[in-house]
Amino acid sequence: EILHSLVDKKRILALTYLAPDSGISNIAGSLAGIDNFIKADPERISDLKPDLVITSAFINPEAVAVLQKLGIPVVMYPLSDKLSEIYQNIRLIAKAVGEEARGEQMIKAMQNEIKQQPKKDIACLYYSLDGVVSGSGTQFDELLHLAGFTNAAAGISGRKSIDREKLIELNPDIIFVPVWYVNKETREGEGLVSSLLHDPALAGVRAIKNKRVYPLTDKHIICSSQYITEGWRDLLRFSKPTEGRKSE
Amino acid sequence: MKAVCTLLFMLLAGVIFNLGLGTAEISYGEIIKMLFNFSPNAFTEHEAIIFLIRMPRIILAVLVGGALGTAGCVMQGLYRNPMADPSIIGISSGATLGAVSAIFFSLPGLYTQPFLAVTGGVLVAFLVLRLAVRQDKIQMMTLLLAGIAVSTFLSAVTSLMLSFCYEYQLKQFLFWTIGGLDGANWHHIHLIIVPIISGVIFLCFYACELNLLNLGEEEAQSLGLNPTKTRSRLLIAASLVTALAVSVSGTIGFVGLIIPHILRLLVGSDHRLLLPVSALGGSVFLLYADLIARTVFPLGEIRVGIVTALIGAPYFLYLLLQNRKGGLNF
Repeated sequence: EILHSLVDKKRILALTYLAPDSGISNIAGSLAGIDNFIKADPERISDLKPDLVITSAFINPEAVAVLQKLGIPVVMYPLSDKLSEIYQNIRLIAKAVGEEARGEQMIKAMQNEIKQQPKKDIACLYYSLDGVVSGSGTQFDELLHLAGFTNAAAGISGRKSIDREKLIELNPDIIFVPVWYVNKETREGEGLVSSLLHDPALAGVRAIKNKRVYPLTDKHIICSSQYITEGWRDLLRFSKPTEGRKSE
Repeated sequence: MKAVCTLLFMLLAGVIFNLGLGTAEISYGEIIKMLFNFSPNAFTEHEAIIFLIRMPRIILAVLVGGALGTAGCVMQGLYRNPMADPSIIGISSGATLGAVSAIFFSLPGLYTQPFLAVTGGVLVAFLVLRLAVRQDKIQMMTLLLAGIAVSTFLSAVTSLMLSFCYEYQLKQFLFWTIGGLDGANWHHIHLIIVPIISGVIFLCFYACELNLLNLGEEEAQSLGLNPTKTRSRLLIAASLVTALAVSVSGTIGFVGLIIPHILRLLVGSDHRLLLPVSALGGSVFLLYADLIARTVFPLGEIRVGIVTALIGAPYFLYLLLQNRKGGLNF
């Protein structure tokens, strides 16, 4: 996503096979002109004869070692879980492709948009299908605080799985449910919203009692690129109570 | 008698521990007050945890554990092999495929997944039984091999469906492959309580027939038993009971394998005692396994199928080693 915005498409020989998947990719609709979507297969990569390979830290290290043995330069960017880390990755990739100025422009645009909002007394919770929440020190936590919300899972460090008892104890005002695909008519995301709203054990939770359980497009939130601004805009919709409910 | 009393005591203790222990700190004094003074129309936070989360989970653990323990005992009796397990004829694979189909095709309805899981499990049992019957006799080795073959085939079909699943569907599937009781609710109890208790009682009534079958085919026939008919009934009943358990908890392994085996060492091989004791033992085992699964990590929980596998697999290896030394008696 970062590379796609930094350079001309003619410079891109291939992207990850996940790029065309609109469920997880923010650039799925703008890939015309890029012909190859591949896995981290050294043989396939070397066949394309790239000048540079840009990959993330969770790629198979053996694949990276093989590429380096073949004389192909590899730039690895670390995983990011903070806005500052996204900025660092943009600078790293921009420098690698010789587009530092564009990289700085991208960062400035993000910083102009993502700004501290007035504080609201609303506790939000990010809650996924397998009970994983985003506690303190996560990117979502950072965005929530910038949007003026409090994180109901602030007492939990990092991303952890909680059970229903803990969810009842946390008692958030709003529950955000990450989904890959949101049904535009029903605003339902993959059944999780309705399963929470209809669980009798959770009926006393404020967010469920007041039906403030909203699907959030996950690719906007679990995002390591400039498209985190989409997640920011998604959250800001809910900081205005009336407008947040209009979108229900 | 001693074994039954001990197991009943452990069951009661298990229920008490599971009621009082969990992520939320609720004292036993508060629980006792709740039991005598609550309104089902307006639960407080702690009442919701006790009555809507912990209680159905405890009851489900007792029902599922009892079903798997009984079915395991019957399977070991039928195969005359202490390493037999309810999933040996592919029931779990069939139930899993039924449930995954409901997930894959996004079929609506609260009871669709459990219904298809039961249907899948029972259909597989019928199929494997049909394959194993020759000249009005059930070939046990054929039954075993057909079960393995059908199980493998169904697992492949399931994996194929998963290849085309969305990620959120994969997460639902995980529930079925590594069983758990975390989603337990009163709907599940209403669904399975009568059929499982009926099925377990039915199997216990066939204890004498199981004893006779263990004497051998000819001996059983000479004593007036129809071995083929009896085996078929027992297999179908055990399959149904297992499929019901899988339909609400996913695949929880090793309960049906190790519990009857351990209890056989304690109470002997007479199924008139062994069957009900296996039901009790299965309930107790799953209750404590679920307690570990819920409380071992401070915030979240692990799936109970992981706990039973961590305990069961080493014990299974021990059984294999004993078998190699020729030490396993049946």
